[in-house]
Amino acid sequence: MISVDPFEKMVAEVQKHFPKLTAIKKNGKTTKLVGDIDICGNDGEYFGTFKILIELPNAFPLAVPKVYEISHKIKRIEDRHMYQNGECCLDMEHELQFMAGKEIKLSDFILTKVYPFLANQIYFESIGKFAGEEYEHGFDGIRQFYKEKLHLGDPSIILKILDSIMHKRIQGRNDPCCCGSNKKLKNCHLHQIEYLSSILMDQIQKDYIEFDNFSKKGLTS
Amino acid sequence: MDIYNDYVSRIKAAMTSGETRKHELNLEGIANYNDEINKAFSYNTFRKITPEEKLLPSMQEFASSLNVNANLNQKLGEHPDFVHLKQTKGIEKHYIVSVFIDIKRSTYLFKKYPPETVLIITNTIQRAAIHTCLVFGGYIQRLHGDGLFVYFGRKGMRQDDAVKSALSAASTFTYFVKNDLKNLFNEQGIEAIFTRTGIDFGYDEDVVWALAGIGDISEITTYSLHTSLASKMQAYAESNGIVAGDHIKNHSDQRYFSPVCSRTLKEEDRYIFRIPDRNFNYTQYDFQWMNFLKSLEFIATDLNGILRVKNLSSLSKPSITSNLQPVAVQNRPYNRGS
Repeated sequence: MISVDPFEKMVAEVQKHFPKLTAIKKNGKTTKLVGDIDICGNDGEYFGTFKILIELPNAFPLAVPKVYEISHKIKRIEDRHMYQNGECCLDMEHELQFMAGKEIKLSDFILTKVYPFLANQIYFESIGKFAGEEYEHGFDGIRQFYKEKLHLGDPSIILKILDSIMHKRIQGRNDPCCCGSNKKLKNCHLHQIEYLSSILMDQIQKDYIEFDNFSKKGLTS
Repeated sequence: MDIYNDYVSRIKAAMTSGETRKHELNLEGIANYNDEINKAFSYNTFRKITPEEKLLPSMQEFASSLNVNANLNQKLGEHPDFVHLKQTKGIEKHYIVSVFIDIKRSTYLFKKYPPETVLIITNTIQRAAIHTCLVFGGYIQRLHGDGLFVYFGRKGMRQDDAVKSALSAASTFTYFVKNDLKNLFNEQGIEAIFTRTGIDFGYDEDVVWALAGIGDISEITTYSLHTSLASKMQAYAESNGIVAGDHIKNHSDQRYFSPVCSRTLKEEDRYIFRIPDRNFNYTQYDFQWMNFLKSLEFIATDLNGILRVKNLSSLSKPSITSNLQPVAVQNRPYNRGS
């Protein structure tokens, strides 16, 4: 029986935008894409080319692809948001997982995450800093993300929300919010809870531990 | 494509002045018509600003970016590796890629423009074709009306490289006609011209190089089924299309080729040539030249799908802060730490 690549259409769509990427298949299924991405500016001016490798995890499109810059044009250091093995830190992991929760369209993923990341690296190389803001490294970046994206700054509230998600205690829109405000959920942290509920439980648990440690440190200092 | 900017500007100048002349002719008669020719964009003016011994600047920049020195001293019908056959009257066998580029609908230009303007327009288009082929290492064998018959390949050159050069030249020129020229013609309210191209490859054993004709009425040419087929296949190409033979496909990335019959839905279009008793069935393919072009190293496709030539030094250095910043700023990187 001829096996049909479930990602064939998706790859064709990618190649419309990024014609130099080619699919690598295993047992008839695309598992990787490799090739050049040419970076152009807003008016089409060409700025540079990177060779990249995109690994599709088994759970794709419900899991986030890993992207490696393999032309060694970007320094593999934390300040450039690169790991030693060439993996690119494209965005806050929560944002990528949120995207995967809705099923990732590969061409959108490359257009909105990979392409701007690479453009930003060219910008950094020329100007000496990134074009926009960047998250702090490690847990500081996660706190920043909770504060700026989710408008959650108080660790005690964050812990209550994360705990409720972990233990599946989130109730209806008209029930009291788990933060303890006595407001209905729909008038309190509904959007934040919806967002956090769509990311990986591993991440929620990890965030809980880190916020818990942070909170305890704050109490002891 | 930026590499054709100087060709487009000359054609546009001719078209614009051509319209002026027509207007003047209607209002003021023949005497003013001739005066206006001289004042506007005459063939003499064209020749002055378009020296024959040089590529136009935008094409020269392209050639430089590829580290290519186009040989403008070539002579028609004298492939340098075989020109000695003119003297020896001998024959040699050597592979060749044959490319026929036909330019269609240029006759319609006479509806709107006087002959001298048509001369400038068609001459510039033909120069663009010749220059493109020279930059990609082609040998112009013959001019056919507004079109060209060109060889790619030479002694010591890898066959794959010769095929890639031929496909690159044909694709680049077709893009120019399909986009830059079409836009200009539309702007001027004229029905656009288009190309049809046929390409085929003959192996050493299938190609005989020899002198055709007599004395000064002669040329060094190939005697090969595959040169004949290239010419024949051109007729099967769609507007701004390229049709290539089996051998071209075998020396290239197969994903860019689809049998002509799958477009025409006529099984009789599958083979361009058959010898049934030898079981020789030679397939003709539509070449997906746009996808091929996008894959070439010197081309970048921007986010709007428009093709850009990389590293043209004539272009002003794009501003990182104003042009790249809006794209780069969409990224907010994070590092989870080691």
